[in-house]
Amino acid sequence: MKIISKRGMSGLTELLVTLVFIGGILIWLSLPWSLPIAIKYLKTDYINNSYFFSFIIIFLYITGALSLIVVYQIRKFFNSINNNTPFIRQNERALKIIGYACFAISVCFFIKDIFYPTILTIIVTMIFIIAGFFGIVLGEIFQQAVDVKKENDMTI
Amino acid sequence: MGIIINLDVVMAQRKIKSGELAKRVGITNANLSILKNNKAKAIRFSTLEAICKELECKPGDILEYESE
Repeated sequence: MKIISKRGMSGLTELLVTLVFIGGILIWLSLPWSLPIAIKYLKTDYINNSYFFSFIIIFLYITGALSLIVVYQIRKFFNSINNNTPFIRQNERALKIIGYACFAISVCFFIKDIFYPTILTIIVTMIFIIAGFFGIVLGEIFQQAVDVKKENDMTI
Repeated sequence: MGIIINLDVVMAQRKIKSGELAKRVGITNANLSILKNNKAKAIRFSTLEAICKELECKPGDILEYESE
């Protein structure tokens, strides 16, 4: 299986990310109806807390919107890879947006951890902090790559 | 301007057209016009060699240095 090709791994990733993006939008829009169903299956003591539902729904709206931004940028990124033009300014911006959005998500999760800590969300907080650093550093690397590519294109 | 490319002068002397030279040297027309218009940042030795071979000239005939 080819790695960078429309019919290879990167094309498959773009398809998966597109599906996640569409599914994410549907879940995000249906939160007021889908959240009570999800909470019914949750085995947590926080359900008895009267503020839990309103907190979680606001929390999920904010982090959901940020996650959709991240997924949309990843989709754009893979789209450019599949068009064989990965080293463009747009990708550098996309990676930095991903980085900052991940930081914002980790802040939201940190606030949640203060009021309703669970082991899983603490792990997610850490993952998003690392993802944030990763996105910003990778964006900076891409900036250098774009400059090198431009230099190379101007060498005849 | 530093280094100036006199490619069009040599090409006029040899009576060769841009498209023809690009094809024989093995670079695209767009890249040749970047080179001719002094927009190029660098030139590979292999390209320079191919141009010199096709135009039967020396690098000095194509490239010229002019102090500021």
